[in-house]
Amino acid sequence: MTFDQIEHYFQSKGFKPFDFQRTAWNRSSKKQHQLIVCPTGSGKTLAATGWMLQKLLSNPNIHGLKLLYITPLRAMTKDLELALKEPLDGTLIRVLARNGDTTAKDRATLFRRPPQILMTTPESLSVVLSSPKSQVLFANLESIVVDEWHDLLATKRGVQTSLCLARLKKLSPQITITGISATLKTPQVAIDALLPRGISGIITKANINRDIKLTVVESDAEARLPWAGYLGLSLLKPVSVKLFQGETTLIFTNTRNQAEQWYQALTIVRMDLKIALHHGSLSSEIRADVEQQLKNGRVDVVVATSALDLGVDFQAIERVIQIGSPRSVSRLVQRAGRASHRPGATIDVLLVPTNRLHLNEYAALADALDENAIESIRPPLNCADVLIQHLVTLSLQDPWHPEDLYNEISSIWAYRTLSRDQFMRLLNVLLYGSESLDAYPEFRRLIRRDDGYYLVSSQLAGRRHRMSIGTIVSNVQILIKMRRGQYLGGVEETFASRLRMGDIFRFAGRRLEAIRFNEGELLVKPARRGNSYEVPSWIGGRLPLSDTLADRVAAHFKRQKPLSDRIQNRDWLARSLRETTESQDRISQCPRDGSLLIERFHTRDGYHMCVYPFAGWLVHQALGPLVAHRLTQQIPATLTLTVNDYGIELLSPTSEPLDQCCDKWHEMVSSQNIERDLNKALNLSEIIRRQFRATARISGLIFEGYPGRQKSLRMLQTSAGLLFDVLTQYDPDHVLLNQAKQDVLHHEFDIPRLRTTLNTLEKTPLTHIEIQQPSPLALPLVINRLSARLSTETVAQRVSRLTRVFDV
Amino acid sequence: MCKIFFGETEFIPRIDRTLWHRNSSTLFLSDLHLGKGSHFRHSGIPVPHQSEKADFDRLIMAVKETQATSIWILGDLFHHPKSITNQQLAEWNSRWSSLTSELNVILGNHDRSGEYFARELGFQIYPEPTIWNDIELSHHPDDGSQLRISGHIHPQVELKSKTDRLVFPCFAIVQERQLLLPAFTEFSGGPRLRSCEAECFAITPSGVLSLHN
Repeated sequence: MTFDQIEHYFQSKGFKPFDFQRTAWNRSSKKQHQLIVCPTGSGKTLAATGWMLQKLLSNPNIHGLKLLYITPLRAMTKDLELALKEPLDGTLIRVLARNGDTTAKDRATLFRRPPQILMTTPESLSVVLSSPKSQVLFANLESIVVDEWHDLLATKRGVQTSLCLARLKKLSPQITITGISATLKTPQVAIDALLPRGISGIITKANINRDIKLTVVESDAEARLPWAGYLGLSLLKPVSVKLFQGETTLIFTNTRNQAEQWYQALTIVRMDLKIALHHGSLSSEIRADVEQQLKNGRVDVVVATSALDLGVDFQAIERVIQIGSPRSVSRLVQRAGRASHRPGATIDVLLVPTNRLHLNEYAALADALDENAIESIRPPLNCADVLIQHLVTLSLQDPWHPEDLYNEISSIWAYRTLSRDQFMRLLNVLLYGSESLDAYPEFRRLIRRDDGYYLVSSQLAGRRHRMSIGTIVSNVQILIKMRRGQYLGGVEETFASRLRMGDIFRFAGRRLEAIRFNEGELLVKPARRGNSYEVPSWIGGRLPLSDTLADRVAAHFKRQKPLSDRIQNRDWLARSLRETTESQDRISQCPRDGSLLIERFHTRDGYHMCVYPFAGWLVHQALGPLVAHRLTQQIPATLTLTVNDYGIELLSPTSEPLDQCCDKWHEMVSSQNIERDLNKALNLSEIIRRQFRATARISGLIFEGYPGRQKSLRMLQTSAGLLFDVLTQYDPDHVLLNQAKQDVLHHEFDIPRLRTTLNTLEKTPLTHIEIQQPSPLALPLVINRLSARLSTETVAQRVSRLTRVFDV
Repeated sequence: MCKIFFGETEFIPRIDRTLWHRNSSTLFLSDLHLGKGSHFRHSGIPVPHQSEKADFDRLIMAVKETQATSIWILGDLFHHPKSITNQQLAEWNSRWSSLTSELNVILGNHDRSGEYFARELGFQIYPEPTIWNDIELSHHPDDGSQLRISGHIHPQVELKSKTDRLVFPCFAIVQERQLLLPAFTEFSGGPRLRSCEAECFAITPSGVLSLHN
């Protein structure tokens, strides 16, 4: 097969296809399924779609949907649409983007006059599949491209995508599936998870290497670096002098709040620059506008969050700055890839520490890059909630028989171990509300016809389901609306509920005054006077330090090994790292190989005990409750637990439980009965309760539309916490409670690594030290209290202490 | 035992989420939301049916202990009257008819088109507000100046220190003239009041606690 049309397009743009692009086209033309592995910004989209574009260009009269392009980012589908339209310019071939923002008119067009190319997100694809008409729409589909598969793969969105792929394969058996992914540690797992059983694919790898250099912004006597903190504005001045007119710079922050604050600060110190703000809570119009400016190079600086990690390439970006720590090697590589699009060119990333321990992470990052060590992905398995949602979706498309469906579902990698029996038990949940048949009278979700086929119980149920498809769980957002009618985006309910009318706050880079609440929207106007304002924060996915980095930070805390030469200012960094260890030694002592450091001190808040296994957030998150649970079994206590990537803090109102913990430490970290004790610990802590919200939302138990819309559904609104409480009280073995527990045990925690850690801790002697003030290592634990509580005291005991504290 | 002095009147806030007026042998409660679980189950949300049974048991126990001659329900007796079935009505009827007290109700926002069912269950329906001993009884709180007892809000209160945090349903007095009742049903959430906003009486497992200095 020749690729004259697409080659011609490349020529007209003045460049030549890469070898891997030609390889990909050839493989597609032979109907081979493949996973294209290549860095951002190297022509992946055209590699994956080239063959189909060639086919469409040589037969412009082809009718019907031929190419389905799935991308994780809703905001980006518009840009991708434009990118794909370009080679098709002047032909009758149509590209349509279908996402949550698509108008009703365009949605109807999809079925009435199908485009040849459809671009969509996994969620919107599920919604399309929930229509009976989708069977005809997809019948002649030839090619599916799944973009950013590495990103989807790690989450339940990936599971949802592969469920949809299995259905598409059934509707159109001739399809070719092509995944696109960034560099992966285990590409074989990624391709297995992408393709339904029975078809195999090959990995197409682009040999494009980009060298990454790192420069750390230096603190000095004037701009000091704090021991704890995440904002980093103390280094504003040295950062601001690295920004230049006409050299587009992308500044990555880790949270939306941080982005808002940096944006605000930079606009004050660099009024000569055109600066823009981009994050996931801004309205899609504002984001689209910023993306457009970025593409045209009409903006000097964009302060962004991970919402800009993925997606199409912005040719104009010259430079990338990372505020704080990127927390994983792959995130840094991804973000660095946003800059400089000449293959083979070196990328220089500017790192801005927000506290001193970030310097240790930067040193570890450079080591990991030298060793080519990137993190592995652990895709979720056997998710009951996602499957429940998908089964309802499919029954809206077409009534199904359990026998056929079991084969379809178990052909998917994530459900390959799901037994027929487990599957039938899940069907009972949809028919009767639980695995037992009589616990929930009047329950209905799906009904079984006499011929054994399953369908949805009512039209209303169908409508409700379509509105809540998806696996992304976010807090209820209050929309922020200007008096003139423009939507700026959304803030969380907890923030909005604290506002009094007339209060001034900062959002979307503007100072706003709250005027009034109206049907779940907050009406605002630009604030004229008044200084006091708050910046909203959002409860987002916390970025844990990857094991790759945590291991390296621990191994070289007191650094002997020379720093990697990809760090441009090695001498300064080495000196600063030495200062950190000197301070730690002065107040306490540095963690040493072959001994575990425990620090104890007393503050106004109570008695503190800090331990530093350096095993990373995921392990500490499990280790903390485990130790706390074992301790509370021996002595009744209410413990507040804080963990970070370096250690664990136990805070207690009395000192006895902590004395006990130190005395019997090796019992606390025994590797016996891990799963049993952890299960019990989880019942006592609030972590499952939190996780249950996601499970309940995905499996359709709670409905969270925008408040004010869909009034008919109001009578069905409840909080996940409440549902969790009644289920725990009356039906503690409910399948969805177990799903929440499984999610916590296997996705939030890292059990295999926990086991390894415990095996080491069991044998490690303690260095127990009483200190007068929190050490540099303890400070972040004491200050950033992201805590969980665990208690074996009676509620009465806790109430009496709480009311004593309150002086009632 | 904890007492609430509201205007000239003395009430006892009970651990079973009712408000007891001894002198007139009257029990006040609100937001029972009968049929809430069933409505949820009908729509595919598995709410255990034992939850409503527990609410009824608690109510019957309260009446037994106080020997109340009169019961006032301040709104949201039902959750969604449109979905009430004959079977449910019969079930509830057998529960209510086991009580000998006089049953009074002020209908709430959830009770729209629930008059028929309330009468069927033996309730006398009163307008909002109804004056009782110089106090207004109503479902909704208001901005007026009269003393008023109402439901609707489902108030809760948070006990919090640096090391612990617990949330309980509560009775609350706002601006000295508004007495808010907790939701009687356990299957309900609600806003958390701050001690600066209201005088709260937290319903904890070991008793009702006044959180007032």
